[in-house]
Amino acid sequence: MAEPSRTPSAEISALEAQLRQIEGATRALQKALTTPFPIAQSPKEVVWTLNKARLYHYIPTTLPEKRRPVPLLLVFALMNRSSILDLRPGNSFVEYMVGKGYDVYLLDWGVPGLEDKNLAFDDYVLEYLPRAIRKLKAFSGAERFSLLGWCIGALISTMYAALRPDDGLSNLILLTAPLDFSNRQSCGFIRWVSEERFDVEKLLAVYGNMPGEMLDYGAKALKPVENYVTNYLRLWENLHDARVVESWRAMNTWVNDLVPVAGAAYRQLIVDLYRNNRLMNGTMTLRGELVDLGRIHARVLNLIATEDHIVPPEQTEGVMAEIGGDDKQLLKIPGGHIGMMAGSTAIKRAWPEIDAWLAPRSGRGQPQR
Amino acid sequence: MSQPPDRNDAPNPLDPFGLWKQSQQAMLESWSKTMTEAVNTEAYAETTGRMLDAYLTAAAPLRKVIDQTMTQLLNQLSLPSRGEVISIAERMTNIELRLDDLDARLDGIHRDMERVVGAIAALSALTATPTSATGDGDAHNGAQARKRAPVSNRGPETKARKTTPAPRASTARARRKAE
Repeated sequence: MAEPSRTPSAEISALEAQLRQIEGATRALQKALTTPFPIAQSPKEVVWTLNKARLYHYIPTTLPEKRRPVPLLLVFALMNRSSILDLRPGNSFVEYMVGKGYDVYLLDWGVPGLEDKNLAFDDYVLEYLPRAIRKLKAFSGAERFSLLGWCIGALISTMYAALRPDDGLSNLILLTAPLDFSNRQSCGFIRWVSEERFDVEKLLAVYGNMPGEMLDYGAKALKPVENYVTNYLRLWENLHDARVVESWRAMNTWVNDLVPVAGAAYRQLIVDLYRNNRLMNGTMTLRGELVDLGRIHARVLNLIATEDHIVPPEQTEGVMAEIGGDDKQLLKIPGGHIGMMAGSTAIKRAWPEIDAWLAPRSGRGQPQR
Repeated sequence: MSQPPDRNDAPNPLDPFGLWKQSQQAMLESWSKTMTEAVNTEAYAETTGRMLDAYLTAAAPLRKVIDQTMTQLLNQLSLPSRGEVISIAERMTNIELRLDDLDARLDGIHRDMERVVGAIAALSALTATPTSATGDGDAHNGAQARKRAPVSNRGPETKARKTTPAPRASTARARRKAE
C-alpha cells in the first residue's frame, strides 16, 4: 500500500490556507466594488455657475511663457459625469493638456433635478454654453478659444458652432459625436427608440427626466457579456495587481456616478435626432434658428472610435461633408466609446493626436477665423 | 468600458490552467458575440419595448396617486409641496440668469476701464516724452510731466480698484500680467 504524500493534518492546513486566500480575495473584491475611488483630482477653481452648471478652470502647471494663448473649453455629455476627462493622475486628459501648456476649462452640466425637466438643447446651446464662453473670455482675456465636445457634448458644440460661428470659436474638436442617424441599422439604440416601440412621452410623464439608471442599462445592454461578466472576471483575475485594481476602481466609480438627462433635451434627442435625423436633414431649429452645419467655419478635428458601439462611426463620418470651412480632418482611433479617451489607447493615440492637431492652431499669431 | 482581450498571450500547451483559461476566453468571446447580435435584433427591441411600456403603464397611475396624496398631506402640514419647491427653483434660475448678465456687464465695464487707463497712460507717456527730450530749455515742463505721470498712471486704476469690487476675471488678468 502506497504511503499518502501528505498527512491529513497537512491536507487540512493546505485547505485552510486556500480558504483564507479565497476569503482575502473576496474581501478585496468587495472593497473594489463598493469603495469609490477619488477621481477628478486635478487642481481647479470654479469661475462661473448657472443653475447646476459649473465652469472650472484648471490651475496651470507650466511656466507662463510656455502656455498657449488660446484657451480650450471641454464640454462633456449630458449623460454621466465629466470626471472621466480627469479620471486619475497619470490617466487624465485634463492633466495631459494642462501639462502641454493649454489653458483648460471644463463645463460640467451638473445633475439636473425635476425643476430642470424643461431644459432643452435650445437652452444648453444658446443659453448655458454662450454664457460660459462669455465668462471664459472675460476670465482669460482671450477673444479666441477652442472647443472640445465629447458625445452629446460634441453634438451641443457642433450646434453652437453652427449657430454662433462668429463668437470667437477657432478650433472645434469632436469626439464620438452622434450627429447622423440616417443609417437605421447602425446600432441597437436606433431600433430600441423607434416610434412604434418606445413612448418617450409616457416615460417623461412618469419620471420628468430620463433616469440615469435607465441610460446606464441601455448603454451596458448593448454589450451585455462584456459589461456584466467579463468586466468583473477581469477584476477577479487581477486582484493581486494593485495597478489594475486601481484603474478598475476609478473607472467603476465613474460608471456608477449616474445622472439623469433633462426631459426636454432627451425628447429632442430621441424625436428630432434619432428618429427624424433633423441635424443632417437641415431641419433642426433651436429657438427658431436653423442649425446650418455649413455655417461652421472653425477648424474641425473629428475623432471617431472604430469599435464604438454606442456612437458607431457612421453616425459621425457623414457630417464632414456638411461642415463649412476648409481646415477639417477626420481621424479614426482604434478603441471603444470610452476607451478612446481613457486608458492606454487614449494615452498613446487619442491625446497625442489631439495635441498634435491643436498645438499649431493654439499659438500666438494664429490667423483669425 | 470593457477592454478587448490581449491577443499576444500565446498559451502553453503543457499548462492545464492555460488551456482552461484559453477555452474560457473562447467561450466568453462566443457568448459575447451571440448576445451582442441578440440585443441588436428587432425581436429584442420589440420585447424590451413592450416590457418598458407595461411598466410605465402600471407606474403612471401609481405615481399620480402618490403625488396627489403627498401634496394633500404637505398642504395640511403647511409645508411646501414638490411642485412649489420646483417653482421656486425655476425662479431662482431666472434670477441667476439676470445676475449672470449683470456680472458680464461688470466684466465689460472693468475691461473698458482698463482700456481707458491704458490709453491715458499711453497719452501721458506721449506728452511726457518730448518735454523730457528737449533738454534744459524745457526743464520746467519736464519736471511737471514727471510729477504728473505717476499720478495719471496710478490714479484711475487705483480709484477703480477701490470703488468697484474686482471681479475674478480682472484678478486673473492682473495675475497674468504680473506673471
